[in-house]
Amino acid sequence: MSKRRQAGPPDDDDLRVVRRDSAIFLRLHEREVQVLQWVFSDLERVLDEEEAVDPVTQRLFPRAYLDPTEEGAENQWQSLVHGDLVQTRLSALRAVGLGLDVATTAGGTAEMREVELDEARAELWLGVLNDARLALGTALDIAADTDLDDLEPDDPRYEAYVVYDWLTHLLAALLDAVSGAGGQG
Amino acid sequence: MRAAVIATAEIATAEIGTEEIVVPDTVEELLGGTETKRDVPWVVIVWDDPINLMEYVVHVFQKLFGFPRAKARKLMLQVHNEGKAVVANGTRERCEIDVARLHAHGLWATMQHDS
Repeated sequence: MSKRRQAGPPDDDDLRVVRRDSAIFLRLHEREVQVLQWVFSDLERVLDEEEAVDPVTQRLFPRAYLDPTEEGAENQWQSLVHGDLVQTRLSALRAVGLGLDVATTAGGTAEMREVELDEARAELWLGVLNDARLALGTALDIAADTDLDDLEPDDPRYEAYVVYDWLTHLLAALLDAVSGAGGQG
Repeated sequence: MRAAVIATAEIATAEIGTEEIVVPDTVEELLGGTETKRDVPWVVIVWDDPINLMEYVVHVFQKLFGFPRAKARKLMLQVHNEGKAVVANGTRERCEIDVARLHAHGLWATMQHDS
């Protein structure tokens, strides 16, 4: 599993996920909104692909049975659940994308957008952000010891790594806000 | 006992009509007989992966299985440190549902006979 990296000192560019009463507010720069829209449309394309056998699809839709003698059960299980798994992911993705499209201006400057999330919407965001990290991280072949700080800015994958890293921070901040809501359990 | 079983099967046959129902010869056959392998419990295993955040995995364990936070965290650490952990067990059907729920939340889960 990935540990959350030590965050640098907080500054104005830090993610802004705040909880007010029962709602969570996600404040994003309009360029961050654009990045998310790009990431989400990429994820939608991956989810829409039928019968793909690439590593990203295999990571999003793994086998249930590792035992090769259970191939019959595996096929039956896939035929029962795969369509639902795809549709559940797509509808969560579309709901989250729609919320992003109608994000209101906030934060005192014209560039900032605010998305308000109730508990159910926050859950959708957690799942979609995680799916996006799985897709991007698998495509980038992220390993347990991958250190994004070691990457050279002229690496062709640099931009995608930066986006992946940012998605990680966004998901971690949202998880903090959500678990803050549910008490210390 | 056997008479009751046969009577029940006959009622079922009568109700369903043309559908063929094989009346079991023995209670053992009715209860599984040669299919005792069905009764061997299955386990659901979550495997470590380099992408899922530790805190996200804790959240999913709490959400899907209703585990208290301490138990969810302990299981997450077992996955992280040992590479895998058993998170659920039960019939094949029950485990297939749990695997699907875990996959829907992006966790890498599989199922197998408890051995």
